[in-house]
Amino acid sequence: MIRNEIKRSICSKAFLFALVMMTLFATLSALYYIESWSGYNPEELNRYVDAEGNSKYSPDFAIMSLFSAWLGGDMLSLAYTVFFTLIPIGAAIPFAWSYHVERKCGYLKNVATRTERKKYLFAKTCAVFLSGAAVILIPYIINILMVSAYIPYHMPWAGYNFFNIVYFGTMWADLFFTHPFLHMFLFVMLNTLYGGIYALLSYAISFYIKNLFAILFMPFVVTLAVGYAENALFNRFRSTVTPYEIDPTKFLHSRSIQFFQNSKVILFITVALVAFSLGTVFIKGRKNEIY
Amino acid sequence: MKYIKFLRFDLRNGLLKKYMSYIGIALFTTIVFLDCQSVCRSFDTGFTLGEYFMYLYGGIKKYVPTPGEPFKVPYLWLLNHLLILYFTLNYTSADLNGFGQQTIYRSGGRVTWWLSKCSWQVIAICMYYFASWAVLVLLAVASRETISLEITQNVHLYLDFGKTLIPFEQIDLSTELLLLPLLFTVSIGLMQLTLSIIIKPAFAYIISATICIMSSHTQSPLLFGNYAMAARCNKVITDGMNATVGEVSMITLSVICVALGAVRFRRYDILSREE
Repeated sequence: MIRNEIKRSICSKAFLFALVMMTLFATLSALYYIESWSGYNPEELNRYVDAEGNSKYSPDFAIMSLFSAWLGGDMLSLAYTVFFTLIPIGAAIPFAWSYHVERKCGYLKNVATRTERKKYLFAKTCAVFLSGAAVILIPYIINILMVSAYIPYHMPWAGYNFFNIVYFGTMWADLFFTHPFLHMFLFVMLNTLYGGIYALLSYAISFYIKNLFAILFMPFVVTLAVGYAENALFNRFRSTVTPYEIDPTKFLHSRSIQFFQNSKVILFITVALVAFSLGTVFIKGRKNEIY
Repeated sequence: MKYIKFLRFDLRNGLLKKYMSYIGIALFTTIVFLDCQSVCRSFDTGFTLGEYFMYLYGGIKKYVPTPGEPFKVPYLWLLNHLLILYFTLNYTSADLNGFGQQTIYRSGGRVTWWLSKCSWQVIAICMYYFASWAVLVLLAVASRETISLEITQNVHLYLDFGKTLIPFEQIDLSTELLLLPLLFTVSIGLMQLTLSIIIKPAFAYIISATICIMSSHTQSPLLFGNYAMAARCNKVITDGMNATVGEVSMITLSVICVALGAVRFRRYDILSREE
């Protein structure tokens, strides 16, 4: 059953649409940096670094590095803005709506009479999570491959932190300056995880609301509202409260683009979202009336 | 006559029965009003209605990509437009999946049905704005704030609009704050309605959201959202957007969308639709 659900989630037009959409923005982000920094000529930038990735002449070149040009390090382009803002929708498009549609068209009744509902829900949850995660992971891989083909890596230099915007004390900041590839890998994994979580959130909403558009877009609209709320709260109480990022589309970025990223806050939000999604699916899903 | 009947049906089902969405807009306006009031009080100033409109519809100053200065998404401006577009996304599609098929079949007036839906879209969006303004005026009267569209220099304390050409007191921004945001939502709403019969409504909403996000990041006359940001108009900054060009562009887009939709809908297969 799991194999069947995963196949249905990935071999679909909806998955392809979401993948093309997110890959388009990831590719445009890569092109923006390739165009502006290396002029499509990697040798031009490679002349300035040694074999270890350290700048030979000026630390200024550490700014023009793979670590600032990949999608998670991009802080300037239009494409990155759209990519991160649309993550909740991109993750939901492939398969998060499927439970709602299957309940509506009667497919669920046929499944319930042939197999245990728990097995069906487990298979559906795996498929929804994996399709959402894949839609985020694949564009990242394409972006990193494109950027690394044209823009060499330089070890980040802490002296230019006002350009890197990886503030001391933010999540994984020490890794950025010592093991930048690991830092990049961890953020790609965090983004992939959140692709799955956003898909699960939409899936969980389908147990409460019987409207396709609410299922697809509610996490997106709520994320926008959270973005506004954190701006309003932290700008108002900046002197009394340490502003930690609570909007997932902003803490998924590897730089502190607005507020600090704190690992405990991010862990708490992640656990809360996963608990809400899985709790809804396995508690409400078992009792949900399908006949 | 058929058009009037269709429109009456749409207003009854698409406006009166959707009262929850108006409560949602009223709640949103109230929260933003209280937020604006709280911010102003932290600077020991009051605020005028104009300044509130600036807070909600002003948008964000022109972004120039500079290393070390990441783009900050204007959530409030996006929420205002995307909430209204979200509330008006479902009605036409739901009607076409149900009762709409019968009315089209029995009346034989596809274009009339389409024009009625376009009229409903425009009226519904206007009603959301009017509801928001009405709630705002009530709150301002209750809080004894200044009922005026004048904008004072205080706005610089809590909104980062950069350097303006002339002081805000000398600029009349009523068109940019009242008409252009409404016109933008109407034109994008009509585009979304037309796209929802060419592609699917969900994809149409994604395109609307993408246009709004792109408009907030990049200042370009082709991204119409720029006209709906008072912070980017040519009365405020040197290379700003012209309000008249914005009005003409958005009305043209609306007319093209309605016409394109009418042409498409005449040969649209209404029976084999699915969500």
